[in-house]
Amino acid sequence: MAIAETGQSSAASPLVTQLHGWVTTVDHKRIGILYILMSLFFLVVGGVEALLIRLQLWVPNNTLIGPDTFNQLFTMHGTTMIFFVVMPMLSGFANYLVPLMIGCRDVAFPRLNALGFWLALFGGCILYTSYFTGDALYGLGSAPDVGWFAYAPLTSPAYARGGSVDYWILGTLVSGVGTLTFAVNLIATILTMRAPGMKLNQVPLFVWMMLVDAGLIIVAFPPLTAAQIMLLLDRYAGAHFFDTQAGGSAILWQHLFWFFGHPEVYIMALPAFGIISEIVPVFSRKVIFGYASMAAATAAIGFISLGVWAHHMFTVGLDDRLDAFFSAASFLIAVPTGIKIFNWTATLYGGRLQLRTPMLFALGFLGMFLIGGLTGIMLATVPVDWQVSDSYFLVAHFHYVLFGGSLFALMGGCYYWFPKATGKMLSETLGAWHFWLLFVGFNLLFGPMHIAGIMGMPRRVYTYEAGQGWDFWNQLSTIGAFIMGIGFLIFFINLVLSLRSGQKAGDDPWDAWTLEWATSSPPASYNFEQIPTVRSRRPLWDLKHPEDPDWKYE
Amino acid sequence: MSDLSANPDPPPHDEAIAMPRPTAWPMVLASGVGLMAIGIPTNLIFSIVGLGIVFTALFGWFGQLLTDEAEVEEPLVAPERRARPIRPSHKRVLSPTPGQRLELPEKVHPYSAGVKGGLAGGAVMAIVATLYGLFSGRGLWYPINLLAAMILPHFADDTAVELSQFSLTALLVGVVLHTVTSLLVGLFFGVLLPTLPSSPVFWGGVVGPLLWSAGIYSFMGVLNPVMSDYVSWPWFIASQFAFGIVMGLVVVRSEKISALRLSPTSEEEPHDANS
Amino acid sequence: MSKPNVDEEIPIPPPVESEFPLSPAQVGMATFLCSEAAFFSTLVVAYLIYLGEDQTGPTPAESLSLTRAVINSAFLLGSSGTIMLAMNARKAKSLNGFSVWMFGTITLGVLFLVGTAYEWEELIYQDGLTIGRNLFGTTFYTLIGFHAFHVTLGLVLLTVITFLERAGRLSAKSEATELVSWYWHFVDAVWIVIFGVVYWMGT
Repeated sequence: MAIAETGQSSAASPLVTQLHGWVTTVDHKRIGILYILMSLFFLVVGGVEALLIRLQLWVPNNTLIGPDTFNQLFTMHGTTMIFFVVMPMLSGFANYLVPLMIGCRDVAFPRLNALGFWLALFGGCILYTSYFTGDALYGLGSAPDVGWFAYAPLTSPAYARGGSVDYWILGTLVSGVGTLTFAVNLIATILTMRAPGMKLNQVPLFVWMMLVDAGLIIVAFPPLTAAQIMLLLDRYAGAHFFDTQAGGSAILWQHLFWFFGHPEVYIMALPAFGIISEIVPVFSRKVIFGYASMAAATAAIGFISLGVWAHHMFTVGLDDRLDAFFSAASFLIAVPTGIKIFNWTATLYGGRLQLRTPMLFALGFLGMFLIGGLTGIMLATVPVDWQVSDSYFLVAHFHYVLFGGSLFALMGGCYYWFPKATGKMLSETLGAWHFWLLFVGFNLLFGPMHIAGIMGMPRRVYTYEAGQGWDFWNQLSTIGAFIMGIGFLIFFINLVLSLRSGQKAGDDPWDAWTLEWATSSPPASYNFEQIPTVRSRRPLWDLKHPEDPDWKYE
Repeated sequence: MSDLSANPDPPPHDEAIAMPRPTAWPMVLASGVGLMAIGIPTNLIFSIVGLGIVFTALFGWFGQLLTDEAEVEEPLVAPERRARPIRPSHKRVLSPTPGQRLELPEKVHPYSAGVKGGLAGGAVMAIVATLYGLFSGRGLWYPINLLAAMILPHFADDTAVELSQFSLTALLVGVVLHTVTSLLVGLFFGVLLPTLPSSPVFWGGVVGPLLWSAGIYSFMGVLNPVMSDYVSWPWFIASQFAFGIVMGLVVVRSEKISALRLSPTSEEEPHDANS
Repeated sequence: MSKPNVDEEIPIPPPVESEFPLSPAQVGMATFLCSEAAFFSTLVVAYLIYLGEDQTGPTPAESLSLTRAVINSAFLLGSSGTIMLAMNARKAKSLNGFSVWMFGTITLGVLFLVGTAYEWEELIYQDGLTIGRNLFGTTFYTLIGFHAFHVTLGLVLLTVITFLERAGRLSAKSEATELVSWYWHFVDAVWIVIFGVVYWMGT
């Protein structure tokens, strides 16, 4: 059974041995790194797609990219960024950090964990296979062009000929199954494998938020899977789920998709909240303000987020009472989210702030996510939504939430935990360049979109007429996109340079308080020589300050 | 305590730790699933091959799990690559000012005080509101109907005359609405009061009603258009102050108790027992 | 608070016991079943939304037989009972009792599948109900089909686990058998919902 060997045979060349080690690994840390590498790869792909979109919109009546290719680009960009960039990156962080933070040697089901990663990766591969099939072989791209939420009846056999939509369905379906195994694994790990003494109300907030996150995945992903199977049956077996001509309902797809799609927004946001809740206290040199209210707010967000999906559908023409209900529920979710923002601000207040790169990204997150949240409240108001839905205002809103929110936090997480994973520090100089280019570029790209949207520019148009006042704002956006591109380039240079010749990190470079900093950098495969014992929310604080330990207060 | 304190039960091995053995079967299984999926839009041959791979992988996976090969003894890394023990830090830390750790007041009002205060304040407020109805000549039921109009949509069409007539539904809705709101506001106030500096009657009797009235004044057009059209604001604000002052008085007069008795982990010993 | 003391003077409290009542495998199985429940709920919702929306037949009332469904349900619900007896026998360390009851469970499961096959045969060839015929066909075959697929999967698992137990490949404290029984009970519970929604409401 050669396939199951540990990969230490002396005959193989080092590179092959190393690759074999990565392919066969069941170590949660290596799987976490694989997830993040996959995410970074697709980040480049999705980023290039976005740059092409921005180039096309540089001037009115541009002919750089045709309408068909443009439709494929925004579909692939959205699908890639959500399913194959943010999802694997948060899975990666959770995989790497949760067992270290709760003080155990591995996740509950290490092999299942590996399966989850490979399913996610192969899901991404299936999606991109579409570029190499069908028409593509004759020189025409045949990627899916139905938008990332793939509304019926665009996906029906009559309107989506060929296999491109099938690749979209199957790619996200397979990776979705991978995400489910990830969630099952995470819940079992967090509930049953905490270090001795660590109560469930003492886990680091990142762990707590990942627990809620995994719960959301368990509830929200299966309906998407079911809807995708229904769509496959429509396309291949002649079923009529979304076939309006045979009495089926195109609205049903929208309900099912957004029942997944809105919790998905929080599935992508909660890990970001978790990362911020780890970074902000450490770089403010203070305890997180309001741990319990933070945990409760997370649970509340998880619960309410299951009941707001139809705010994506105000323009469909639902019943007024439904609109009112979903609008009210969407307002309601602003309350726990606001609690979090206030808690982070209160943690910053009076702290001795250290503006290292992770903290820069955390502060950037706070500002950008706040803007995204506020435009979210605007959009939850039905009349406003009727005006600006499906305009660039909406595009600006969700990029402020997902990019300015989730991705800024994930980038901050990269800088914060890179020393733990590699033993080397990322360069602070390049990090600052990365942050400021990203921050400036981000606001230059998505800020003007608010204005273009209010001026009436619809999303997903491949070009526009001159003289509507949109040109200037679009050009600003395109400039911003390229500034961000340079920012990411610096990030990748930073990763490579620091990995080769970065400053040595040591076990605990940030003088932090959670358990992952108690082990070596990088940790051994078994994480801890001896499993630590925990008495408070900040076990390392207790050891560093035995005269004033936390457990006296909790 | 120089090291992270050890587990009660010592580790089974001194030199090695049992970890799951690396295996390629998960990757093989995933590739089988991927092939099965690819077969749908291309050619079913892929799906059949994929299914074969899935079965092979499952067989291999669980075959391995059932034997001793499932685990491998990982030797401990060299001592110089292990984590250093964590020593007490001599860095100056911020002295525990309020907010460095979340410090809660040691003595708080019991929840019942908030509830009682809310109900008492609500009763007084109801009396003031009724007095308004009587003095203004609009009748006893007028203020109740105005309140109920928030929930009952058809009241929006009513004229002032109809608003002064008795309606059982409006009475029920109004009473429930008023009681619940009074109770919640009282509870909220009771919990919040110990964290606010000095003079509770000032907070309850002045700041609270002012904030509440201002909030209601700005939102009333949306929440309850009927009421915003017909209400007499001086009387409304007066009744708010009556509520606030009575509630504040009732809560303040209650006996404070130790905060520990309210916490869900009350079986733990008070942590200042050893001082 | 007391003044900061020297290290030795603060008694370090013993760590609080924080054992979770379930094992990792049990939590994993329970979580997996929750996701399965979410999956089947979606299919049931789709069925209910389209119930009675058809312009053309056959309708559930015309084509479904409550008698057959009751018999089928008896098979499946009975198998939940037999697998419980098998688990009891396993706890009592009676390998033969366990094998007999597992065999009974598998037989009842197979009978259920045979019953479903007869039902489908009649629906397809007598009533002309296919997945593409109307919305009832679409939702019915999807829902029942996925349930039958889960039953099939369960039967494979039951067979494999019985053989492994008999071959002595599973240690006494292995949880695999118990978890498979959880899965089987879940499949049964889904059937009760389906029976109510599809057969009882439909006929």
